[in-house]
Amino acid sequence: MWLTKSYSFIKTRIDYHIKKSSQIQEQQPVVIKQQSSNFKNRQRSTSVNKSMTKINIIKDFYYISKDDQYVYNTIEITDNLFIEQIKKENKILEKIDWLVILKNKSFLGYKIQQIHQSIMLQTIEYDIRRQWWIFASNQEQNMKELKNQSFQKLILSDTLHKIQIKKDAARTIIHDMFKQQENQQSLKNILIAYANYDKELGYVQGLNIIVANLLVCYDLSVNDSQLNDFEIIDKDRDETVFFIFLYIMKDRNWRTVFLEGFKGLRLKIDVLEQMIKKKIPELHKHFYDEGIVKMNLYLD
Amino acid sequence: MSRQANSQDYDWLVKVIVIGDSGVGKTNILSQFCDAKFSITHMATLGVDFKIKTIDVDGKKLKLQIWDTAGQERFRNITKTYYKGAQGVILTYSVIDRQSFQNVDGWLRSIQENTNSNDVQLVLVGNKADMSAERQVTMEEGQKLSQQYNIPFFETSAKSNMNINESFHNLAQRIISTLCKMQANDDAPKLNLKQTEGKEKTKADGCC
Repeated sequence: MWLTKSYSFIKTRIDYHIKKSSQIQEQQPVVIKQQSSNFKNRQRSTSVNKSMTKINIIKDFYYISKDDQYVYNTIEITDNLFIEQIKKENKILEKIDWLVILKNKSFLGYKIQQIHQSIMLQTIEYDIRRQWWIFASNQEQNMKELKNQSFQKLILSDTLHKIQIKKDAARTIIHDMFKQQENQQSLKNILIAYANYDKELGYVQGLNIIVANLLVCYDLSVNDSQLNDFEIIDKDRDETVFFIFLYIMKDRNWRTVFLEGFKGLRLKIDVLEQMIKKKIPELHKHFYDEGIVKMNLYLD
Repeated sequence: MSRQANSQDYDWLVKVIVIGDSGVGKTNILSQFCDAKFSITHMATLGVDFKIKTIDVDGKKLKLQIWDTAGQERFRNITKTYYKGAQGVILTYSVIDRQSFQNVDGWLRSIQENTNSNDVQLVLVGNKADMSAERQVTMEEGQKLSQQYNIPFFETSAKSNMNINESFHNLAQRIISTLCKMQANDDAPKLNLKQTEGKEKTKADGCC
């Protein structure tokens, strides 16, 4: 059975934790093969076939974390067309499986391929995905690390960034849901809480868009049309979104992109430039000819 | 600076930047001027954005490359880059935001620090003039400030398209007269049209 998945040009990155076990360590890394089910695809993949396998898995390494319990596996998928062979012996995870994983908070008993393929095929139902985000975003631990602080307390503290946040929350209408005042208020609260949590960074324009998108993804009524006729009370929505945001900023280190001096942004632009140079040399040359010798210069 | 393939569609190419505090309406001034559009729910500008519009001034076609900058403090280090080579600056404040008016001094200082202020033409713009109920800065205050620094001043409204074109045309006219002066003083001015044409031609020969 061959399955085709399309991706946008933007690089997709999947990270997941796998409970260390001898069974998993003996496994081969996930194999991604190029195959095509129709002529158009075949034409496309033959031209790039050689480089594809290299590009598909840029990094496939195992990293043992502090507590030595989890194996951390990172796979980067960068192509537009991505075809993966489903091995018959690999059962695709179903709702019950995801529930077991969430309940045990571990992947024990499942293979990397199984999980990978299931994520690729998006077999996670929406309500489970919400719980999955809470699990994957390290919420429990981040909540503990707040110690005597809490989301509610962080909202109430005052911050110099309040004026700017108010200005921007009112003009972050990326979705109809932000036409409602309560949702704008939620956006404001999360940003204020984060500005109080991360005093060094505070609030920078752009964070509003990240948080707004997280709210859209996490909001029940937006994602489940069956709930349209109901009034949904999801008290924990804002807090959960805050912790997902915290995970992105702190654990995934996106805060460096926004910090004074934009160190992380420079790094990302460098990587982008190198990728363009390597993969689209014509474009890189064109930029060069037009006087854009180094992209980072535009940040100085 | 980028050059368009067809050099005949303009006589001059100039760079104009729009600066001012966050939320004063820089992006809306620009979209009103370039696309005759106004949107109440515009997203905050991140980093920088730019639009192009060609206008007629005294029978000359002037191509304006207008850079829209982010107003937030954090982006100010980045926006410094965009002062480079700018021939015109639209300095904006909002008449319903006292703070943005008070920050005009700071913006003027950063123009002085980052440009050769003799070659740069400025215009001071007090935007959101249509919102009379929430006004915090009077027209007289704006005029007084502009006289103090000797800059032309307009109260505008991007929403009702009041004085938007006038501000840009005023700026454009003064840019042209500076450019003409520079051309007269110096045989090799910064923006020599002939040079541009010559380069375009060789380029065109190469690819055809």
